[in-house]
Amino acid sequence: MSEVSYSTQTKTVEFPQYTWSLMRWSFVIGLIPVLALIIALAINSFYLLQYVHVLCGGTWTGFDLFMGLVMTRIMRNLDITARVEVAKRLTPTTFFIMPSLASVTIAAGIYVAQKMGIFDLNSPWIIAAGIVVLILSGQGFGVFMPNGLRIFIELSKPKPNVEKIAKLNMQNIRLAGSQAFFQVVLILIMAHLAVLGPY
Amino acid sequence: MNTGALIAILAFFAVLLAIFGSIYFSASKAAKNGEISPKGLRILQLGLIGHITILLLLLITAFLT
Repeated sequence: MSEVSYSTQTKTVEFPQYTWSLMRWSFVIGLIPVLALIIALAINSFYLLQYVHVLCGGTWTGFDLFMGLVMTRIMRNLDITARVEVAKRLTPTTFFIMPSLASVTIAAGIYVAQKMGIFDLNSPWIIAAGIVVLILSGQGFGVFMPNGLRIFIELSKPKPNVEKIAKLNMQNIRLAGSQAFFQVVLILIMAHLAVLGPY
Repeated sequence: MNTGALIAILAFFAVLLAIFGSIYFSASKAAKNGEISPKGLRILQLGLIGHITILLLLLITAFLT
């Protein structure tokens, strides 16, 4: 039996119950990076701040590389029903985790640069990092989040358009691959800033 | 207080609320017309509350540097 049940008389749909538990899980995991950042700053530990920045950035990049290099191949070999089943679980699970990792990585990176005294807005390397961060943020706010919301909305309809759900999910997975590319470029810039400074 | 970080996080907040808000607004209209399930709208509400909570916590960091 389908996990989405319909009532044609009342025009309502039973939203998959696991959506709630996956979203709760995503929220709890999404709280960890931001709480770790608060602790690092509250106890004024540069070591912990660096750790939070590198760990969150590495996890964010790793996740996007996995989505871009592995999940796209897996999804291509699934039929549309299976793709939708993946989308119904992947969207709520990543809903808070990815924005939290991204925002904490960026915020912690700025704090690290400020504490190291290299946050110089005239530096071409800092400007380059800022441009890449703006691209990543634009993709996140402009595509990832709206697509996730559209998947939720589609699932809430009495007759969800499964092709639309699969298409939106594939867009997000492919975009994660492009995010991974920009993150690899960003890590190159970070390596220069850490080793050679802002010029 | 870190003014630069505060402005950046508030800008994130504004963009999030604008995009999420516009999609939520159209979804709530669809829910009123019976086109989508109220539970779906509830999921969007919880999503918005969750994102606001995470951004509010991030906002605290601007006052710790």
